[in-house]
Amino acid sequence: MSTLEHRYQLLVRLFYPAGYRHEREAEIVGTYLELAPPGKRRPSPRDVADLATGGARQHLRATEVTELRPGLRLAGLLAMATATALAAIWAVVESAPLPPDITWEIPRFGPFSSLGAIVWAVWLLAAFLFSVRPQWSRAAIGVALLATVAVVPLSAVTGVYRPPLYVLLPQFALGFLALGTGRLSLIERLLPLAAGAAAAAISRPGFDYAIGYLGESGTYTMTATGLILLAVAIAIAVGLGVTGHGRGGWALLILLGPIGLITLQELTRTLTGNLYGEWNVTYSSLAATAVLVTVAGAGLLLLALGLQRRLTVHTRCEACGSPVRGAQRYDRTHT
Amino acid sequence: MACTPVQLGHSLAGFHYTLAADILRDVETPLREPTFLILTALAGEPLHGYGLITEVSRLSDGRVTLRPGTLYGALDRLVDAGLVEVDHEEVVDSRLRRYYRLSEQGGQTLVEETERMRRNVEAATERLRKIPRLNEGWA
Repeated sequence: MSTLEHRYQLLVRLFYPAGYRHEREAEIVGTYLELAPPGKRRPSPRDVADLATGGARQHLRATEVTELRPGLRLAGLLAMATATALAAIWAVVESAPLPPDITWEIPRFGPFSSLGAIVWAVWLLAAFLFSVRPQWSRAAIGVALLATVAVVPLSAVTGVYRPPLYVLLPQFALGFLALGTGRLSLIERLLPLAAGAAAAAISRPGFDYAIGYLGESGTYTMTATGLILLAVAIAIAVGLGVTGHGRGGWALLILLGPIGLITLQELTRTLTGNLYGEWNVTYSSLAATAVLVTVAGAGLLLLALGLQRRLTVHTRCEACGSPVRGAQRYDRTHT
Repeated sequence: MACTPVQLGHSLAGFHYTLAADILRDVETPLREPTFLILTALAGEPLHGYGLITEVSRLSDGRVTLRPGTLYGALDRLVDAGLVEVDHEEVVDSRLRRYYRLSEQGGQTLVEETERMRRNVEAATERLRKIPRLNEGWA
């Protein structure tokens, strides 16, 4: 065995799942060797990148990616709808006047209560482009994510108020997830705009004054939004599960982390509460809960992926090479 | 062992890959150029990995250069979708060569895709003929 062949083998073993290596290692390495010019001694960086990408794809395939990828798209769509609904609610809050009993001077951003007005305007624009110009949706969401992050240092520099971190953080998580939606039908693309319009219409009478971020109204808004998203995700998971499709379940698992971040205040109250109904929501306890929620959400998803991988039988049809996954599908498609 | 690969939705020409369509098919239409070229390459004769890479490069005048990691990922998708089948295996210079061929369903998809592209080319050509400054060099 040549040095080059040995190095390609090492890379395949490093990047690809064991079952797939058993099936394809000799074929992949053989093709690389046939393509290699005489005298080549080591794989090029492009070879390494190609094998790393191919290996990552196979790891996903090994976990029944046919259900996971649609699950990610569904989760992204629901996340975009929720992000738009929240942006619409907070835009209503930003445009509300100060309560009349506040007589001292509070720094405002023109007619709006904080720099959040810019952030929510960018998010609503992103939702509009998501619906009518899908080819621009990722760029628009990227700009919205940037605005969500940039408002923090901008507020520190200018001294103008901004939305609290427990509002910005879930918005960022939802937007990041929305990047994974991919191509959608027109009806699917219109869902975020419909959610935003409905949220604004419902919340408008509830926010007479610009105090929505703070106090009970802010906590109530976030908690209600998180619970609605959870209920919708569970309903879809059950509905699709009954018909034998797993993508709703994957979408629910993917959304658990962001839902935890949306309901961060309520979760922190629950975690820090005592028997007398008193709680201790501080910056540190909120940060600790956010870390806990993120780790738990990612852990549950990884656990589910691992279980799926263990429970799935992977073989290929000897006659045509088609994959056969699980006894039930084997019975239905291979006779 | 007789074998019937999963056949879902491939007769629906022009059926775009959306969230709703996710459940129906693994290979989106219109086909991406590398996928189209792989199917075209296999329409001639069964080919192994290296043969496919060189044939795709030749068909595209060198514009599309597949790398093995990418090629085998694409082949897996096409085999899963029932468009490509394993033809036979052989060992040459102690290296395994697995040959792939176009399935009947793959041939039908390639015909539909080629017809769709031909109609687009005809429509574009017809429009371009009406613009004199763009018409130079056209037959």
